[in-house]
Amino acid sequence: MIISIVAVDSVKGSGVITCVVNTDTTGCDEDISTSIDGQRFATHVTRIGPGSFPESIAHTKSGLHAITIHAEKSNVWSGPVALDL
Amino acid sequence: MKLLPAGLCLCCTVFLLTAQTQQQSQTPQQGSATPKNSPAAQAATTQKKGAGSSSQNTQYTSIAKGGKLPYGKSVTLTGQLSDFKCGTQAISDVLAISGVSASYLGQTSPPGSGTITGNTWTVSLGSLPADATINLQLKITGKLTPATADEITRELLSDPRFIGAVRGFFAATNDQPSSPVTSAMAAQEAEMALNSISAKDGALTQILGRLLPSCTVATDVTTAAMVGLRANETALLNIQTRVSDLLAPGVNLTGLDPHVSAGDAYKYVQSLSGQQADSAVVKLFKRDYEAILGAFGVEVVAQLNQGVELTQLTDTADLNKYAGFDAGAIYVPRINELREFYMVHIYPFGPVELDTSGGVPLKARWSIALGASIGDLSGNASSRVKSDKAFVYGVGFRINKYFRISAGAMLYRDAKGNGLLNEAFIGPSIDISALPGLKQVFSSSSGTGGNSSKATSSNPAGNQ
Repeated sequence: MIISIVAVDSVKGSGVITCVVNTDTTGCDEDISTSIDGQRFATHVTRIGPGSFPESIAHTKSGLHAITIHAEKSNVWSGPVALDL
Repeated sequence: MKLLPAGLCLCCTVFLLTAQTQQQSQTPQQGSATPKNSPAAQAATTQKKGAGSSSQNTQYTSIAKGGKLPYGKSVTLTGQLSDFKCGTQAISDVLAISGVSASYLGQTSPPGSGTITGNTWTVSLGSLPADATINLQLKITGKLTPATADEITRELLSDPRFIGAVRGFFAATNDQPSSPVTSAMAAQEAEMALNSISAKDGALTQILGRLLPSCTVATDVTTAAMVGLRANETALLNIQTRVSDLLAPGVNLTGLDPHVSAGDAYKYVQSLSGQQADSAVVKLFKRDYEAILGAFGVEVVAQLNQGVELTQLTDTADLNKYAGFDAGAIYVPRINELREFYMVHIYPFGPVELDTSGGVPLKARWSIALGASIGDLSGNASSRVKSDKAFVYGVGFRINKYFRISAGAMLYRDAKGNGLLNEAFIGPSIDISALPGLKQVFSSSSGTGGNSSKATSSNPAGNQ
């Protein structure tokens, strides 16, 4: 399962939010998602075993937003960050 | 030398300038603990002679400690950068000082721009009026030192008001499908969060105010600081999350205190190397922390050139006089008469400051007296002085600004024997030319504060 989502970041205008997913020994097979302007953006993450894995979520938004990424099956949230998308 | 009140003395200008050029050069010297009138205490100023003009360097330390500014000549303040203090805080500890200018309340000309050479600064004040209170305003500009920027960043990021403002931002921008938060709303909330920490009782205002107490610096710096911080608002809003990320499960940064502050976390990550130092979570934290640090170290600095003002109250020296005109009474014991007299008292060692508070050099109290006695005060029906006219001469000793004791001799024609006689006298007098409105009579066009008790190191008044 996903034990934490950290290092949430974005390069302005890139259309992508990046993050790092940390998993335990069981790995993960689930969606991570974020809500921007009430619209859900997600990506599916499949990893085997423990580790830190860089991930990204594509989006279509711009401007300043408070972003939180949610691991939907593990029910883990990243810390909130303000990103200029 | 002025022989008439200033308003009638335009014709004396050339003579005045001549008198100024006769001033003696002096050696500059600082000092405050030295007794007044000691040689060391008499040289906070340096006079520069020139053809028809003169200027005077005055040590800022002597002014800051209550000394007087000279009047009537071009005054240049000088000192060390470390002399500038806001309360007990040396400004040079907070700012890397790059500029200084000086002015005083009521000045009609532009403030004098100073020069800085090494650790020494000089700034011209121009010519000042005599016996006036000078509200001196120094404007000091410079960049926040790296140590100060680091201190501000550390304090701000751990301040509860700042933490509360950031939490408020994320609470207000919690994006839900049922209540979407637009980009404009988020920007508005970010602005509110930043404004709340720069408000009068906000974290940033108080931190900056504490750095330079007693100076009017906080408002300027806060405004400037916010300009710098706005450019890095996401770094500022995210720093708490970046610290939390360092402690998140799976990140495995050993030895990091779970309650670590942002400042201490920065120290910690700087000690990391290899894979840990290259991890995304460490890099992001460093990037955002250094952006905030840079906001104070660079952007704020440029704005800080608007300056720090400190106010220094001081006085200019009272008028320096070449001579005084006295009226008084003399007692002539041998003929047992009390007579009125009028005398000019000439200061033989050069002009002296009228104000004697705090003491003056002994030689500045003595004067040579010449005058006339033209009447009897004691009701003597048959005065020995023929036609009541007598020439008087002698020496005077100034007790204070207005009063003097004179002693000497009275030369008169004896009404009985018709011989020319000389009789000793002694008596008190008042210096009429020290009275307000008349004190510019016999005054020097320029002078120093050598007689002031507050001028712990200044030029003796009689040295011109």
